[in-house]
Amino acid sequence: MNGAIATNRFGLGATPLEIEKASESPIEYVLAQMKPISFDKVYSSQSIALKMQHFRKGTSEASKDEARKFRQATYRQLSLATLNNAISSKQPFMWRLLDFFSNHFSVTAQGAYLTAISPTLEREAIAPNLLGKFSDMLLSVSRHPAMLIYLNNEKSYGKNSQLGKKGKGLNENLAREILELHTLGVKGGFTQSDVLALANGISGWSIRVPQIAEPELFYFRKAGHEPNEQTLLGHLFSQKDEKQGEAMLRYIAAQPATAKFISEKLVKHFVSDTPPPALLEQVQQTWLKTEGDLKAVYHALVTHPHAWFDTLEKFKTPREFLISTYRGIGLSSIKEGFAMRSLTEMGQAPFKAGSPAGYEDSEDFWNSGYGLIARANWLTSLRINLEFEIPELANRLLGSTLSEHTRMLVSRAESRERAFALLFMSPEFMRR
Amino acid sequence: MQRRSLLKALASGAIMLHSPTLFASNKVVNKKSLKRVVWILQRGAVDSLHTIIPTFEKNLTSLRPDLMTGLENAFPLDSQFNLHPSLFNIHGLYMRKELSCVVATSTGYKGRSHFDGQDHLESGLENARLESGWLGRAMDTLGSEGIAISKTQPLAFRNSPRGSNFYPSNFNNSIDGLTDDLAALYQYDEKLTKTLNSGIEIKNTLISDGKKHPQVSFSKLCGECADIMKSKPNIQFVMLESGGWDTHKAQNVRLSRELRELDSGIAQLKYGLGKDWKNTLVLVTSEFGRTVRQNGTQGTDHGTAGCIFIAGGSHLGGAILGTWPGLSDAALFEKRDLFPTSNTLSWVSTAIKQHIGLDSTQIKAIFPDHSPYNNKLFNDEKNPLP
Repeated sequence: MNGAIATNRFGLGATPLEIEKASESPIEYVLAQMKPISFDKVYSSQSIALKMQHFRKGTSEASKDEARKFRQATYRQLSLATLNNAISSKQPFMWRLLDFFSNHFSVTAQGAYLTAISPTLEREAIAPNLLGKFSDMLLSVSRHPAMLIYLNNEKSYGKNSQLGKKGKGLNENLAREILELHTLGVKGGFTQSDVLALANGISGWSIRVPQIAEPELFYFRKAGHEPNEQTLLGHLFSQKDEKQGEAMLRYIAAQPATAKFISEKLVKHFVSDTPPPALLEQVQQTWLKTEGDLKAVYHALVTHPHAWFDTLEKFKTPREFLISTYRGIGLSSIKEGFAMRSLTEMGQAPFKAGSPAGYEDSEDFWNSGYGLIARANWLTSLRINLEFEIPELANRLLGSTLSEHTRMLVSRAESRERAFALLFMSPEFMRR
Repeated sequence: MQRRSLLKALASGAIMLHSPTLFASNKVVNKKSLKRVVWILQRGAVDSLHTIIPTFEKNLTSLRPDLMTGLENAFPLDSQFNLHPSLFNIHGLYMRKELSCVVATSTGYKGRSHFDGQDHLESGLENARLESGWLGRAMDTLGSEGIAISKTQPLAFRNSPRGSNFYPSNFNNSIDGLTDDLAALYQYDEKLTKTLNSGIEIKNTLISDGKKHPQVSFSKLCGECADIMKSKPNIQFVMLESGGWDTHKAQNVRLSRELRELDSGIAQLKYGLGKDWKNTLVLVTSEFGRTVRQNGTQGTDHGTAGCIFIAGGSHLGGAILGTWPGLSDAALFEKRDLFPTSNTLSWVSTAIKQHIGLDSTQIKAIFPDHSPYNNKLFNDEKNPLP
């Protein structure tokens, strides 16, 4: 167990001074980061919605233009804030986890409303629950306006509800993706009738017209809720109103299939596309034993000896590559326009996965011809003054994982610029 | 595992002597013009009833009352089906007999997960496996090259050393001198060596074209795709992806827009390919269809059977293929979806076999689980049909 693994596999790439610090007690170094993270509260989904509502009143071209600019600016500003928090953080483990769950509950910034609202989901529904119970996170996410709008639940009404009798109907999109992507997994043993039962259970889960006095946009529209009891996964739910969907989500979160699906995804994200079975087992058992206590689950992952093998088996996503490069250079922030352009070119613009499954997380996907050239082009477009000579920086960023071969090529490079590119393009920097 | 090693052996030429037809087809590739394939994967499940509209079904309007507005001007294909009004160019191709529609097809996948469904379509196997895709197997079998217009490597190309990917980039290409050093750096890393090689192969012609590429629409990508095919005549297989099809809500407007993009994209492909259109097969497929009834939000939910387009300059088209299952309750799959009556992958295998002129060993190596149909889609000298 060493500092290079602690800062790269369980962090977002070492800063020039980090490995030294982490090496004393690598496991402790990671565990000590498990404290809440926060954002500055410039915007909330409610304040954004209020502002957009204000813009809606204006009909002139100028005010429409202003509204468009506001949405774009909000999207960029909030996305950038997360990125820069990750680049400068002393708790990179927590920002990795935020990134993991934000991608697990992926929403896409498409259309007017979601462009501005999407980046608030991770701040409001994920970050506050990162060290709590998974069921609480699931519930917060499923009530968040970005998710309700993205997966079209805001106007999903039961057939026998008041609104249903007036011709409105159900939309099963969110219910299906909750079961398939957020909890049980596609092989989690649910059927079409379970999708329907959950869709009925959360029918009427909607959003309100924003009001200053109401900090939460979630609104339970009773007139649209299917009034009957529902059978989900063989279990009867006879609760009334909003309580029914809530009970269903808690029940689904507690299923062994959920424990298995998310534990495995988490372990794969941190450790390897083909993780050691004993490690998987340990993390999953902890999830079951603690009923999805995420802090305990992370603890099980980080303290297991099989999570600390020497080979580097994960290929960094473009986002991880960008963040770890900036951390490695010793910078604490990236400029907005350049950040957005960079991530877009490399194939991972924030909140643009275009699919509720989020971005992929395997080497098969990211290690591609275009991807590699895009990374190399991006690196050579950086102009930076470095505090350290590159061979020294290589030691500081990669520690014991730096190979003799890379060390040699970096120190023999024809120029500083070339040495810089080789260090950050090296197999041991591309992987973690 | 056995199958994969067989493919590798085929690709490396190790068993060529035992397979004279394979040898012959390689010669054809060099002498005659290359038979090319463009595969468009529509991610998100296209509403086939909104694309190829079964207007003769009396209950269509009661099944989807809100979805029929705007379809009055649809193009009639025959006495039964109309084509969505956004598909002006596709209709033109159909009238010129360069395009066919297949109705009520599915990959055989019965779940309703996009991602599982796309894995099935991309792997092209009865049971989707994530380690191999059908385009990759096609390239390995024929010893040819392919490119995906994508920022990442799609599953369809996976595990083949012959595929690369490309996407229009705004970054200047400034790594010319760096590539030798990178090759040395990756000397002991097999995967990175492979991707570096495919990256170097594409970087000059494609990335440093000096043009600016702002937001890239699907139709523009099709134009770029035609340019690539022109500048790289050795590329046989191309994969394009299009999105925006998951229309759970207010689908009329969205589908009009997405179908217009598709239509204009196919027109750009044909225009850009010029004479080579004669040698090109275009396949348009999606992972599954959507519910026959509209849902509560003027959209449709995930279904089963969908439709495909087969097009090309030499295609014997102008027909609606496949068996129509009907829309009565009893005719639907699980009382909600269009019932699949033929297999998408078998159609793909039929079209590819006849278009390129493959023998049965070759097509079996590409689609081990999906035999081609007997429909005549191309004049295939090698496999004349009775």
